[in-house]
Amino acid sequence: MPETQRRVYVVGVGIHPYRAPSPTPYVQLGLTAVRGALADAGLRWTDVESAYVGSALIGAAIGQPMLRHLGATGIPVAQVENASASGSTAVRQAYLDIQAGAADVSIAVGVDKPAMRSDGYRESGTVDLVDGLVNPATHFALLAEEYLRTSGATPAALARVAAKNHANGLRNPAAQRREAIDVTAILAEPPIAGVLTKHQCCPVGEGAAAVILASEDAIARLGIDPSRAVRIAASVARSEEVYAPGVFPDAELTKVTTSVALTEAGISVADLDVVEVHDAFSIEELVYIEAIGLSGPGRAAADVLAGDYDIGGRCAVSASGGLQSMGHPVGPTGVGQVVEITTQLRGEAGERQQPGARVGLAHMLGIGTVCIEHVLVRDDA
Amino acid sequence: MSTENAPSPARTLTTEDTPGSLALRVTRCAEDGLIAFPPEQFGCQRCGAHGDRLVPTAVPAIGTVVDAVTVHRHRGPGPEAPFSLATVDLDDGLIVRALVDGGVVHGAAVEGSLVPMADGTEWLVFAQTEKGI
Repeated sequence: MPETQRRVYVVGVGIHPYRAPSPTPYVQLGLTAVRGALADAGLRWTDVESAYVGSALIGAAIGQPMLRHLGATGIPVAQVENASASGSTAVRQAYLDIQAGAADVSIAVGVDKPAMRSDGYRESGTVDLVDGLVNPATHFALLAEEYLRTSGATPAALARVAAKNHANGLRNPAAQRREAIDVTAILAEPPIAGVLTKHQCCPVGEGAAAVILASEDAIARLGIDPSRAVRIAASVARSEEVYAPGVFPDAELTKVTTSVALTEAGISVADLDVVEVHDAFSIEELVYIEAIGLSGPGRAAADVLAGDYDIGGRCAVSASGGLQSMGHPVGPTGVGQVVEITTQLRGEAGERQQPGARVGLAHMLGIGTVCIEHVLVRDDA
Repeated sequence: MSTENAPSPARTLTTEDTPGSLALRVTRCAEDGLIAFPPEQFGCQRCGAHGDRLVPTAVPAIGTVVDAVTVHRHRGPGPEAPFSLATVDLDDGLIVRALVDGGVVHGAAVEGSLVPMADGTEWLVFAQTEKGI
């Protein structure tokens, strides 16, 4: 990092629990998360100098109709849409504001309700042979088939991922699907596509999450408790390139993004204590564990079965419950990952606490495809 | 969804210059050789070349199944669930996703044809060839 770039810290986190869609307006969901983050940081809304709202499904211009209810201070407000990575991108925009000196305190809010009518792909003018037939579950079922065929793993490993994440989510009050379910029950469910069953596929509902970022100057000036500030050691965004035929783009993109993020943070993959990944489907967690480098090629299934990625294992993956249990309301999802990692690195995660956690990574993909990663570090641990 | 006046996407995306031999319409980038399917209309995704640098050509709808899955839930046009969907490695090295006959598995040699569905839509469906039996 050049000397002119400033350090950036997460100083406040807030969340509105993820849940099935309800008549509650998004304004209320978002304000709950923002007020939670302000209270957590010990700040007032008038301390916040810029705001980024991550949302993909509701529609245009949702920032100001929500944030004005905190007292319209006239700060810059921008809505960020980047599919599933909308919230992660909002965090990155807030990070860049602080790092560049454009603001001392910035907030990223993710909020969504499943109201989407269309998307960029559908409106792009391109049609293919399977338009309307390949939903995400089918897309990832094909990936699961390939993984099982080439690695020798069995569907039990996929179910073990889902069972682990639901066990974690059961301990997260913000999780949408708080259900105790074991490997046997997951395998016995009717399949949705290929080997994927209901609890291996994420629920898409509503919710909100917020993080407040601040500079060192702001922490000192505003009397923020430095012992609860968590440093963002890297914020990296990449997009898909043209890969060789047959290569799974999301995995390749994850490899590249992780390499840049670890280098920027000055750490190695072995330093990671907690990792949140885009585990919308069980197979994704196995593939990204390998793409990040936590497990060697073809080894993730065995390592998951051995408990390496359980809370208390060598690196807790999806300690929040992940997308499979905590849920994937889209706009909030990436912000919620940063909320979880911040909570873990503060040692405040209660019964889902990863012991001794001091370095975490949040990994999020957005269809298109984009990849956003944040590395968070607790410096005083 | 097909109508009386509009050809189905499957028909638009294929050609049958030789009777009985269906082929996929593709483009080949004259700058870097990248083959694109569906045919690229906006610009090469590797080098950005566009317009007449994207040359229309065709790839036979013949290949090998990489992986296939059964889709158990589906709402929308086309076949009723359950149906089979696969990744198919065409003999020219292009990889596409398409419907396949049920029971087709990894490694099967397949050939595509246009198949009408009960709802009036038309789809490209790959079926196992004698070569692969």
